[in-house]
Amino acid sequence: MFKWLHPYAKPEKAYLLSLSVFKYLMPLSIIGLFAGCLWGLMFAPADYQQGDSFRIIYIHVPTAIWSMGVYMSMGIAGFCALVWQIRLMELSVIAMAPIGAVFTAVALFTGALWGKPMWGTWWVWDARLTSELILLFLYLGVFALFHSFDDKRYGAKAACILAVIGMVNVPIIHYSVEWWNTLHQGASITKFDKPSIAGEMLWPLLVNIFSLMLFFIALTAYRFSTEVLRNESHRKWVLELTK
Amino acid sequence: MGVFESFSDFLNMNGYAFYVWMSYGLTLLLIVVLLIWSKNQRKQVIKEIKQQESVKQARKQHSQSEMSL
Amino acid sequence: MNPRRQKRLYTALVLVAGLAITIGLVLYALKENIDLFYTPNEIVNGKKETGVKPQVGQRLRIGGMVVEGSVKRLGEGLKVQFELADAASKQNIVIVYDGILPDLFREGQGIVANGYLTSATTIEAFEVLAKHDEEYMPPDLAEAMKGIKHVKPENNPALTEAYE
Repeated sequence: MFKWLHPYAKPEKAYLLSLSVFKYLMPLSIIGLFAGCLWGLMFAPADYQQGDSFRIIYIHVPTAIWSMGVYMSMGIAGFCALVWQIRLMELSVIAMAPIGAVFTAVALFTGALWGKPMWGTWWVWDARLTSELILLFLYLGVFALFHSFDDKRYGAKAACILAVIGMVNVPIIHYSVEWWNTLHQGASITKFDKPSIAGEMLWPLLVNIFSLMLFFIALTAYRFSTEVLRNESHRKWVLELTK
Repeated sequence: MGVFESFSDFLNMNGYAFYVWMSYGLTLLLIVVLLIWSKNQRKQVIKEIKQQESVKQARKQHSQSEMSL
Repeated sequence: MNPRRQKRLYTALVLVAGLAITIGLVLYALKENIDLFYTPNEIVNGKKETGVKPQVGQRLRIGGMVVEGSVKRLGEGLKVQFELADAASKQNIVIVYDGILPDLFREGQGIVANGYLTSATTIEAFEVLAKHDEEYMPPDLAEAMKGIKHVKPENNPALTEAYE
């Protein structure tokens, strides 16, 4: 069933595939993000309660959603790396961690910049905000662990273990607004119901969410290919490539 | 200018200029930093591979010349 | 100690510190949210689960709806007074606040206030936060559906004087 996948388990094939993924998806994602932001900033109507400050949603929500999505991908990759001892999976974990950290940081500071005028505070220690901050620490922890052992295999193992354990935090973030009394409101679109956001405001948001996913995939592919080069630096195919 | 009457209205964001533009600006900055950093990492790796290869070549030549003596 | 062990020790220390900070943050967040949080009804009748009533002088956090027509300016400065209610409460809680209100603050809005209980039903707040729902829509649609118009506190007639 997975026979067709086997060639891609070879580092050389994986390297070439990830570079072409990067080549096609990166321009597409940049165009998508640019269009989504422009649409959201200029053509979407202002919110009835929040006025134009609501336009922060077009970066806050996509980065917040993918801060969790990236973590799940990273955790699953880490799990596969641990169970089946796949070195390439370990490399994908370290490729994803900084991207997730940046998404989380963006979600946190855009949230603060949105919270100040609307809620009246930059920050509250409520469950949603605190668990998202912990997500940032998890990403930084995974990255730090990977690089803090002289024996690379140990570092990668430790990082994968933290990536897997940290997955517990993801459902906590998502359901925090339901389980606890938070200042943060409930989900507008990531729920099994009609989105609580008007169509003309929703479309640019969906464009940005989708484009940010493409951006994540493209940049992960690029960073992954770098890690493959580093890992295989003594192999003949790498030497031929870098000549 | 879309839903805004003029460009200066657009920039002003009805008084929320600081919060909106700060959000978009800082996000752009962080994304650009991430991209440049990823690019530099790759350059660094390729440089190291080349260095390591030239050292290997030099050693090979050295040992060959020693053998020929 | 050799450098490799030293590095590993530092990593371990940083991780332990990170874990400790994390647990600390979680406990702090939960404590703030659970121990100190009261609804207007709970201030009068005590907490639902435990029946605990807040003491006068105690620091607490209250969440409720701003009662229509209750917003009043006090004196010359920014000081305002308004009443909070929830579905279950029979008696409104009076909030006195000296500071800038968030842009979402208006009558009928859900808010959270931090402050001290100065009498059985009065709170002197040092922070007022607005809570909003997950609905976003353009102004014309909102007016048609709900009859709500967004009014920034600067433009709210009940509050304008306070901002001048």
